[in-house]
Amino acid sequence: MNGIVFDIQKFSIHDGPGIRTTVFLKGCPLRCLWCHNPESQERAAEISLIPSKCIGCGHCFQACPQGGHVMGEDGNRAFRRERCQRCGVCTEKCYAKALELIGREMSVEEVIAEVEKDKPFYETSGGGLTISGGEPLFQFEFTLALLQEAKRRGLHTCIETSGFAPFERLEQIRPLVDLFLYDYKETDPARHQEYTGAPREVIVDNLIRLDQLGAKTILRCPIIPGLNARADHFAGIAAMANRLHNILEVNLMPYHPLGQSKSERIGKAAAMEDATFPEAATVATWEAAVSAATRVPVKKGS
Amino acid sequence: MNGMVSPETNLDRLRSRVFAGDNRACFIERESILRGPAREAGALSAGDRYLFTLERLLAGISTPIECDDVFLGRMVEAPMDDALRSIEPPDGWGLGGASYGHLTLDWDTLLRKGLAAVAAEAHAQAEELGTPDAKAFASRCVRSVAAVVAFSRRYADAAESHAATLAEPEKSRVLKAATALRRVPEHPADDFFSALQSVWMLHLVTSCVIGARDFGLGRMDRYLLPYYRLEIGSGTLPRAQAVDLLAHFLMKCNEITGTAAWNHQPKPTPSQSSKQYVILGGRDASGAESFNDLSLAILEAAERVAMPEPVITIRMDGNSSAVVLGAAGRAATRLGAQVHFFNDAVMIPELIRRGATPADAHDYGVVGCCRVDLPGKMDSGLIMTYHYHNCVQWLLAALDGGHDPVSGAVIAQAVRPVSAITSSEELLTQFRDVAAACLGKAVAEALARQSAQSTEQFHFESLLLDGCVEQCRDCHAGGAQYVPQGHFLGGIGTLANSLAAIDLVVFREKRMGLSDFMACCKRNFEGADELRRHILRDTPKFGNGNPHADAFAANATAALANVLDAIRLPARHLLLSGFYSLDSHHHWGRELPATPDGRLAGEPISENQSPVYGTDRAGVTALLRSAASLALRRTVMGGLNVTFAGAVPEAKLAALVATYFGMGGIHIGFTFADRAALLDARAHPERHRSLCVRLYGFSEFFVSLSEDEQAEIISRTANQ
Repeated sequence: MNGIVFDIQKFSIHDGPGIRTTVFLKGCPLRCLWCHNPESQERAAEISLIPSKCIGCGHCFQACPQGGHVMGEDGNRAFRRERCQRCGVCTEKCYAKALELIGREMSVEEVIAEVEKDKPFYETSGGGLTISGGEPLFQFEFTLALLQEAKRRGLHTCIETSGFAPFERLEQIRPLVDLFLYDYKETDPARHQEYTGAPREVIVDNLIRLDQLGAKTILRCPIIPGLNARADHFAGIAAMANRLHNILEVNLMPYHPLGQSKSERIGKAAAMEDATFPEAATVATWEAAVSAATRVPVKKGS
Repeated sequence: MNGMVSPETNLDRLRSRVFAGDNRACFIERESILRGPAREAGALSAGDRYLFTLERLLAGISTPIECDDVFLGRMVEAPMDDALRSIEPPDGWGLGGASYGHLTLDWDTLLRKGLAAVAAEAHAQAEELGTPDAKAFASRCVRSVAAVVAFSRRYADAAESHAATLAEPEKSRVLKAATALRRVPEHPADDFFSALQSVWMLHLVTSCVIGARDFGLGRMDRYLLPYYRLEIGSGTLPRAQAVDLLAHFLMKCNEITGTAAWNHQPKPTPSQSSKQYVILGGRDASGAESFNDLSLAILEAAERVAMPEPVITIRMDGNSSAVVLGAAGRAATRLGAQVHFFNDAVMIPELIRRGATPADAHDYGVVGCCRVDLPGKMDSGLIMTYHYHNCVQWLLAALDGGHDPVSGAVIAQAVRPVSAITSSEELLTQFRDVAAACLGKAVAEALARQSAQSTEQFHFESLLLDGCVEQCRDCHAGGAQYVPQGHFLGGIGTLANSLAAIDLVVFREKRMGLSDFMACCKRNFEGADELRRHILRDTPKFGNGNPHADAFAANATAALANVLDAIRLPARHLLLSGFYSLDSHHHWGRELPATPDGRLAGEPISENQSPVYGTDRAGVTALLRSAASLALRRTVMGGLNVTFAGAVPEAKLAALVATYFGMGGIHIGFTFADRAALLDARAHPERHRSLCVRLYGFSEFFVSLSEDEQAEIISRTANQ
């Protein structure tokens, strides 16, 4: 069983308890305006270019079978993405690592072998494997196989999910997941559709049904000034937390603009150009607003 | 803290004084006395000459009282003018001082017995031994104690008369210290306060008056514990007050360093940039953890002080309790670069294997960056017996018939020509042979230097180093219980990557013969860009948790450990080794030609236990897996500093250390700073005066480092 993995992050300390390894799977059905992993949206591999890393060696010019890397009219290197077949040959020749292939096919065994290298760190810290994305349920068969193998090897497991999937999938993985890091992005249904490109109802229904099955969750709420940093949404987060019986905590995740430069690297326009880091004091007022309406612990996540 | 302004305390004022310090200033009274008119001391023996100068200094320096001080003892600083600078100080009292420091006195004996009793013991012992040397030693002990005691009494006198001019609370504060100084360090300490005052007075005398760097404060949570427990238990000292006293003690450590925030150049006195070390925790011989409430109080005090000195070493291991892990995690995140960690599970068995008694091995400490110390028992201050070895130089010699790549001289005999090496295994054997030749020579030279030490010399430290008083013999002349010999092996990352590159290019891909490959190296890869790129891009690098690359590091370091194991030293001599370069890698890198790992001539080589900067790209857990593959269990020296670009939760950081130590790591310290902040600090030092980083084995203000050192910190891989 193979999947498309775009990153394996070691010493992952913000995606569940302890020291973890987070496996990022490619492909997502949502198109959140603030997406901080735009390279995760498409399921197919992509070529990332960081021009500032380019040392101008010219190896990619010769390597690309499509002639995708050329000298532009301005005398600078140019990447003709319309010619790119995403074969990744150029990334293999790029010594400076300015060009990188985002997304490669890996087997369950390969991923687990990489994850298990840090097993001593999980044992000391209470950590383990986190599967993230993209949306892990988008590559469902692979996620399921990965979880089965992780459990067979005694690893603690988390999954970071938008919850936008047929409920059967969540039901099937539930016994294999120790902790769901479940996104809650917007309370207002119309805005949810506008901001994420997906309906809210399925996601919320899935969350409640998952909770009824006894799944432990942390509600992860991206807060984006100008979009969902609103009193009614904070109240909505608290209300949702109060409805769940097996919730451990609410994490408020202040927007960070990392996704913008990542979009540029893969040749996409960033959806939000003007967002900036919120001030610590602002984040504290959000935490206070949610905490006021729920007894579930509210923490700042990242 | 938002919007709250807490009133300025005397601790805050003392901190401000340190920041306001003038880097050109020195302990002006000391320098003036040393260069002033003196009775001709030329006819005296070395020991008496030393004593003559020590007596002059202790009788001549003033006793300044600063009413914010809780403990008395400070020096008067001012810049030295050219006229004074042009006069040579007495022989042995110039830069570097009459001592090299880098050792820890037997603080426990000082506090339990007092100096007068130690001098009396020396006198009685000399009578029994009856030799002229012993009697001379004892008389020097008695005289030096008298000089220190007289200085302390002068301080008490000055404090009492100054107190008469003060209002409360300053008056009581100054009188309390004066009362203590009537008793200590001459006599045993009788409470927690006088114990700290006693240690401070001697620390001032050794670090500033004798004037050497890096005197250790040792295991404060052990030798102060009886006083702490007694008073906390009886209720005479509230815990908060004990923390306050500790904070004042720790703050004073920053006064004698001369490490004002602008200490860009070394100060013109021997006490410049003194690194001082406090050791906390550790297991005793029964396996119990000695970390206690006093250890926690010291850490709390350090948080309040928030300065780089003293460096705090926390002894722990892979099985440390939740209390130790909690304290370690908190200290690592709150104190940052000021704290570092040593692994008892590696240090103790190895010290025993090297010849320390189990009790002494369990009592180990750290001084002078990452050097192991047996507090109060080992004279680590004989600098000439510590050697730094460049392992990359040895590899290049192994690849060039035994010729030193820098000087061209033959440094190892009977080394086969490069054309005769046909496998990586043969290369490693040849490397081992070169190392054995160079180490054998260094060991013999160190032993010769040790045995050439005159029994006529005298050093004050001998009073508080076990063995010296019993034998009536100076510490440098072999009086101390343990005589160390240090061999530090540097350039490990560059060595491992070079071996991996040769293995790939020459022996597996067979792109070219070894002779041709080394010819490319000698040409600094000129005309061989493609080869160099191939090496940089395609050979596995140490530091990425890659078992293939790490095997080269493991095998090379094991080979070095084997060479060291084969060396036999006389009884009481300890061979102390580690994969450690301190700052030597800077000049080594500048001198060395290109290396097989693709490094060009003059570029830096790897430092201490770190990978080559920029080549560790697989994250901190992979880095630690690689580091743990080194033959660390056969060494007793630290050397791994890890940088994080952002904050790490306390518990996760503690777990990281514990896991690394469980895997066999020996030492680790952390810096928390992102590249942007470091670059900004380099450009605008005035905005980052308190930014503290880890270097080698200590913490330091980033803005006070040299250009080389700043560049090193900036080019380190920042994790996360």
